[in-house]
Amino acid sequence: MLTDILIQLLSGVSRGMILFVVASGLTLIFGVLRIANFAHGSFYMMAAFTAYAVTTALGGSDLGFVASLVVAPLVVAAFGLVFEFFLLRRIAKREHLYQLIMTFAATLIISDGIKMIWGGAYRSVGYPPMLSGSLDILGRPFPAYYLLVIILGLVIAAGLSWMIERTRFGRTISAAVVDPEMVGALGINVPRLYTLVFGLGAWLAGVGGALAAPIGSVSLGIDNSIIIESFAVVIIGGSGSIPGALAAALIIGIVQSLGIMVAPRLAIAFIFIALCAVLLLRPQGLLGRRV
Amino acid sequence: MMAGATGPWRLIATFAGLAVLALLPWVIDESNLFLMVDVLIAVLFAMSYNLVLGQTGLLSFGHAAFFGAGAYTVALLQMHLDLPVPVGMVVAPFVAGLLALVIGFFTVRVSGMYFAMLTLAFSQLVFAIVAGWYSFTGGDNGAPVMPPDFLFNTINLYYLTLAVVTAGIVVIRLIVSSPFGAALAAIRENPQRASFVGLNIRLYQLAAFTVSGALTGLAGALRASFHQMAFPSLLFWPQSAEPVLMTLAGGMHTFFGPAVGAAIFTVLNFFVASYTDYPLFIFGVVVLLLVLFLPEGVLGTILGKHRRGWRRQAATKPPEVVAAAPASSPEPAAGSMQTVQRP
Repeated sequence: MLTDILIQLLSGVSRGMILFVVASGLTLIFGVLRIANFAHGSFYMMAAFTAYAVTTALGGSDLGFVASLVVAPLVVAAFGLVFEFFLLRRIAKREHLYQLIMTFAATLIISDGIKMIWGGAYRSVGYPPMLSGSLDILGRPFPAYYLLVIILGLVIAAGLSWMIERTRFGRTISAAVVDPEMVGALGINVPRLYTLVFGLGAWLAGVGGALAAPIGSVSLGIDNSIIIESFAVVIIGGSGSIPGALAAALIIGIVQSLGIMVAPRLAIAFIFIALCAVLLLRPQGLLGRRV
Repeated sequence: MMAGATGPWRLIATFAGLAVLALLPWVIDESNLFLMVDVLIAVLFAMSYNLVLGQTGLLSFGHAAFFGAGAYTVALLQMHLDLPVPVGMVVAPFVAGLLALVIGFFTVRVSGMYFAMLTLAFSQLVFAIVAGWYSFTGGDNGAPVMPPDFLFNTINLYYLTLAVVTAGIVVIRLIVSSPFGAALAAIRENPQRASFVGLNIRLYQLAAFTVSGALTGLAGALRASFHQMAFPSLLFWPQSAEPVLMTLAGGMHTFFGPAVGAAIFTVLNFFVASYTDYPLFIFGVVVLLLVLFLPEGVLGTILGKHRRGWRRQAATKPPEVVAAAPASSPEPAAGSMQTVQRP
């Protein structure tokens, strides 16, 4: 029994890691640009389908997996850059409602766009050959692929924290969150900064999508749950906080995994109970600065 | 807001519109009348919604919860208590209003984009419960509604819907032109100033949210009775986007803008869905073009309403005026000072 819980816990952590990778991108976009990017889940879905295409093209080999992990996020990042540069930027000065609606329009277009290219059928990718085995944890099998997800998630968390705290780019971002006009007055091209942040956020959604592709199925509609969960992560973690997003994503992943053991059908509701609890106790989120 | 045409002209136009709507069943055929029922329901949904967006400046992204709550009230009352549809329709706004009160209690603490995300999260919670609780709601099979015999006649159905929707619009009109409505507008225009005048902002926002939710529930009840079914998809988040898009398409700073938007979207949806395999794509492009080129919506542009009101809720800069409260201001409204203005 205890081992069951441990295994469930670990798979919760790996599920949470994918959610973290996706939601960290949204946290950046929301924290810096103040855009509640509805298309974020669609970016994730787009990456999953691209990963499927790349992996299948290379015959489901290890190389195909690695290639998908590189190519899919780049494709999505490129899409994000174009979207921000040609569309979002044009309405940057307006009420945030319009950005919200525009990203919502993008979800519709992407959803049907994917349907045009790949059709509506379910696809599956499968674990890469070298990671198809499982590890032995206290006598129970645990998919090796999940371990890779956990490790990659940690690497990305560390990398993002390093980028934000130690690099010039990261410090400029933090400054732009507080006072974009001042940052602009200091000679930094704020619109370009915003475009880059949006592209980086989209790239992260892409990494999440490519990582998630071998788990479960690749199908239309996978954007729906990930976008809601990502919003929940941003709220629980606190806007703009990467460590907050990590904590929140792990909480959600674990709560969900354990929730499935207790009450399978209401597992989703557990997320929201966590969400409400956080809101009542800390409206600014776990590690948020202020509301 | 909705100053628009003045006095008698406005009245004449309203009655002329009503007369046209009342005569419609004699002019158009049954399938188009069906479409009109859908349009009317969407009109009530969008106009109820604009009570929070256009009137109060709250960007709710969770109104599907109240729409669905109204629909399920009708269905579940019949399923479990054997109560007829008309009873369900009377009860629905109260159930939806109560739900809005509860959700609003948690969500009006924050504003702007945070409010949008929170209302979305809560509506998804309601969706998850409804979709998962098979024994009570029928889960994703939906809950059937068996309307009384007289509603199987399309013309009767149309008149009932027209009556209910008109009543709903009258209520909204009364709210907008009441002192309460004026207070909501004041909060939308400038929350700081409104709180200095002594308005308890959160309380007013909560009240607006609740009333809006209740009327949305009424629209949901009509929808369930019309389609003879309550589905979980009525509570799913893209449904929450509908009134937002309709309001935007018609013009959120005009009284009847959301109604115009609702009509445009419902009719467009009808034709697009029957002529193409990729309706979402077309919708997405239409919405994109709307945002880019017609930000004030169709009616807003025609009437020449510009963004006078509705200051950015999630402005990029925090309000700086907090310290500037005149010491002699009547009723400094201590509690309402900490209106959370930005995420």
